[in-house]
Amino acid sequence: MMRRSGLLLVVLVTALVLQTSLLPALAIAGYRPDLLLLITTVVALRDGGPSGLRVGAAAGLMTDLLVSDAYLGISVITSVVVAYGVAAVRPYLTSGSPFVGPAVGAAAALVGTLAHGVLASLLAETIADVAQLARAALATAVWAALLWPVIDAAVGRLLTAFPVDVPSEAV
Amino acid sequence: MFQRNRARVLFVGLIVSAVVLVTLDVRDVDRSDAEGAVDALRVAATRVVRPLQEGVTSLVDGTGDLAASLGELRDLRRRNVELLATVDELSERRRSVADLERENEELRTLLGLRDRLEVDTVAARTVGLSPSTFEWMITIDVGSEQGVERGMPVVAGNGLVGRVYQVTPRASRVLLLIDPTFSVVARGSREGVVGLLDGRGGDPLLFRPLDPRGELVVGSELVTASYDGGGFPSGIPIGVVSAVGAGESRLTRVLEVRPYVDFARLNHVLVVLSRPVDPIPPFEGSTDLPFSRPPTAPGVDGSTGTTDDGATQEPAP
Repeated sequence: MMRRSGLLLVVLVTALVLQTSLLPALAIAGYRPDLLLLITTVVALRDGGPSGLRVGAAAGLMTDLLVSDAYLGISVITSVVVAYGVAAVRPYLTSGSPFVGPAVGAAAALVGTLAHGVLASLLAETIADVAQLARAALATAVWAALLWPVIDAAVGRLLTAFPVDVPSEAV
Repeated sequence: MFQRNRARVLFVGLIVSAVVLVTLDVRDVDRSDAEGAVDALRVAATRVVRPLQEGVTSLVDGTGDLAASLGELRDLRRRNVELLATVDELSERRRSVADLERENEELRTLLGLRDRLEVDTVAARTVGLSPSTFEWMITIDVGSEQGVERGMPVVAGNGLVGRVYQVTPRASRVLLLIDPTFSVVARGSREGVVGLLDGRGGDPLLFRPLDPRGELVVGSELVTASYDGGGFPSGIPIGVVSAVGAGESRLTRVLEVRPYVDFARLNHVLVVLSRPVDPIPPFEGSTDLPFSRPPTAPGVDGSTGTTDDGATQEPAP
């Protein structure tokens, strides 16, 4: 369990470093993928609520500390909400279609980005640019759908190699 | 069920913790006079992750540049084509400037020669070279309309080029000094030895002094001599003796002469309009010994040739 958590932490740190160094260079029209949120979604979809929530909290905290300039905790809230939501719909995703994962990833990225934007705007007492927020959410969703196969394969292999001690259940 | 409840508890606990963090951060921001705990946490986290970020960033910079370069590839190609065209244009201009400088130098030399000889001249440009391999001629862009007549000397900045061979109203053909049919009376500029200089095509000129004992040596300069009304003004440089041959007999001696003029690079020349000497009138009262020169050949424009006594000669068939 400790080993698994440690490896997931390494994955998150690696994703964070890539998020802040590599992805800005590959941004299209200024929009780039949210790797941490994508990893949270993958873990939540594969392992269920507890694992997804823990990874989401860690990912949100890292984002708040090192990426976002919003109040500390906002990304934690959005990531945790996304992880909980994905875990909640997980039992209903019985289709074996390869498009389910990318669709869930896109939806999670869309909701997470919108929620983060709205929360940040509310706490900053400013009115968010709705159009810009919508474009960012859509772009992040597209990125999530495109990168899903890669992230899902990488994180999925890790989760399979180091399964949780107690089999997870649906939330 | 246990997992579900556990997840709910965890979810609630995380949300509450996050709200606490937000609250702390908001309070820290409101108390902007001092650095709060959240800021200290951010600084510490940044300090830990920064080396990793810098390492990856240094690796990624090249990739980012490559991606940007790929995007600009078409534009770079177009600019490359434009720049190459500019380089060609500038190179052409540079060549043109060099050509103008060379032409300017040639013309200055021609002017210097004209002033030195104190003769009337007309400047001409070489417009054609003889296509034949056994005929050494050039065509110049002045003719009878500019006062050019058959037999007039043609000089370049370095010295004698040849003589006008055929004349049309606006062009003339010049028989070059090196043509095998060309002959001119020459003399050593220092020694004064007079002789006959003949062209030999691509080989050096051949000089036969009238006095085989003349003291001409290698390096002696030869100039034209107005000997016996030779047709050329005196003193036009021709060349230097490059070899002194052994006499075929006690009465003859030949010397090889290297001409000053580079006949492969004749661009501008001067046609000497001045007559070297006035025509010698016939002896007074003498009808049986008229002074005469050989009749000239007709011009290429079909004009008739004349003899020196003014008699008109029909064109040769």
